[in-house]
Amino acid sequence: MPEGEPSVDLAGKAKRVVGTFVLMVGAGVVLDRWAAWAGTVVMLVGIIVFVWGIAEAWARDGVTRHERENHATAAATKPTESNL
Amino acid sequence: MDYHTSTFDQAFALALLAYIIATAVVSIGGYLRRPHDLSAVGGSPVLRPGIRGWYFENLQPIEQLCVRWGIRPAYVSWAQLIGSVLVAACYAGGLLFTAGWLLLATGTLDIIDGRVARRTNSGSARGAFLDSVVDRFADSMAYFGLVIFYRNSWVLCVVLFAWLGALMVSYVRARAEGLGASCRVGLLQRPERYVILGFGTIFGSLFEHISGAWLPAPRYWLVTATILVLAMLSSLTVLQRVLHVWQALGKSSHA
Repeated sequence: MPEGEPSVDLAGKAKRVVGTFVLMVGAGVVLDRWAAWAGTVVMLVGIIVFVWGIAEAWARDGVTRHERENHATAAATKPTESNL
Repeated sequence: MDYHTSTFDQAFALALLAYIIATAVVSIGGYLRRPHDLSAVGGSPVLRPGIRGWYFENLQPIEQLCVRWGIRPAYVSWAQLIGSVLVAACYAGGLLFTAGWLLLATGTLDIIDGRVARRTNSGSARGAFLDSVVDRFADSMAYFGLVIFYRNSWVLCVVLFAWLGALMVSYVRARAEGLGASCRVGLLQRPERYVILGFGTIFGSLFEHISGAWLPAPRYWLVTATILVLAMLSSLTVLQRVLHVWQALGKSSHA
């Protein structure tokens, strides 16, 4: 991976961190009765970004597990000196 | 501020408190269960290496995105400056919960700009100067907002005392480094101040909504207590630094 290129996992984590922050800022606007509707919209945006980050992490886990299984299968079926 | 607490406020504040605590327990607990090399992370009595390590791990993806998108450190510093104005506006307007989160975000931007500069090898004397100036401004803006919020209360004196402490902590270090002495000591450096004031206002605001309006004045007494602790610990840090620099300069003048 080139320098500075985030992996899917890191991009997912960034979304979870930013999503949580946006959710909290929106919640504060609702809590302090400044602009409840605007706060609710901001909260929803935060929840969507957070869930997106979770979905990416799950997708990443699935890919990693699949790759691991493939590697394990390939290692088990690889011809060796003894069985050639 | 016209203030009343409804059942919705209390339930909402309780739900937020539960969410924050659950997220912290799951996230920090998960991090601490995995083995980590924390030798390069550093630590202080207030922010232990484990907490710092967890924080930097969560910061890493955002830092990498900044590097990937070519965001220059100076832009991050300008974002911190704008964020600090928002922090002051939120404190002044009584949006304490939001102000606390924004304060933590501006503190994070302060750390990100330096890390991005190191990663992209784009650090410069001008960037370092801008960073220092923006840091002082951002530090002051939070207290400025609190001064407006507490303008009709005796807590104003405590806020001003804490503000003075924050400025003096930074000034003593800058002056010491100008004289060639190292001054990276003290109980309450800038990250610790951001964390204490940020979480103090977040939990203080939640507690205010949960407890209702029956508590006696001053309002937001948990926030008041936080500022009082900040004022005392900042003064202690100034004293620690002055003694440290005094000894260091004494040694160098004898040498």
